[in-house]
Amino acid sequence: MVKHSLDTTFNALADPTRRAILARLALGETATSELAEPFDISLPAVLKHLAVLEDAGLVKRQKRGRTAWCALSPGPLKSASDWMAQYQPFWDERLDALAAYLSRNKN
Amino acid sequence: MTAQPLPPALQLSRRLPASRERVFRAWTVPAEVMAWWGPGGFTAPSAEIDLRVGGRYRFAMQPAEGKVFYITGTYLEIAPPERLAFTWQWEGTGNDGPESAVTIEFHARGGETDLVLIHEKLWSQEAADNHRWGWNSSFEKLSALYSRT
Repeated sequence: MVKHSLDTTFNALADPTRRAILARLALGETATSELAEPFDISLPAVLKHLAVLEDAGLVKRQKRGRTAWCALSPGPLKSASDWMAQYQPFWDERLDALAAYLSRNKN
Repeated sequence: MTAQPLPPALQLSRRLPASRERVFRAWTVPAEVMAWWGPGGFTAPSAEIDLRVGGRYRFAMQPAEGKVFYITGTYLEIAPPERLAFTWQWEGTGNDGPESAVTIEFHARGGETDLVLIHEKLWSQEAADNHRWGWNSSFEKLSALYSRT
């Protein structure tokens, strides 16, 4: 199993088309050709985005018969949401401390 | 220019019992930062602040037991008493992680202040640059996206 860094994940997510592709795949496995349809770009451009998503471990591609299928691989997305989760209690505590400090030191 | 709203982003808000000039000072004067940044498991033995765009800050954090570590970064926007933005990087934690960005808005509410804090991952240098120049518009979009708390 390849270990994907947070930076790779974030860079893959930085593009709106790639995020739209992931949103579509969240609904279920999709044929690559079908995946290209809603986007106003060429199939090769979609394939390029898919390659970035695959490198980041966000998408798995598999050929069955004559059809290439894409599926969401959500592991790295969890790391991204973990990043947010670690800061929530940190900032809650800091802002509580700031509020308490300002109550004591009005000027 | 309009910057993309870039998830993941964390947004918190607090009503604070002081004017926004007062709250802005609490974030930008070293002695003030040291007074409130600390309580809660660690102290803040030092705070260095070079308050200009491109200037750096470095806040120390000292756990009750354990080595001192730092939060450091560069000021991206300084607009007293309305807005403050800076990059965010841990230093000395053993696992400092990627650089991120914090934007703080100070909204006047009578004599009090609504503070809105957004902490977001910086995706790339390009994204960071977009943020620098598109901060206002991106903030409105981010507010719309993440203000459902």
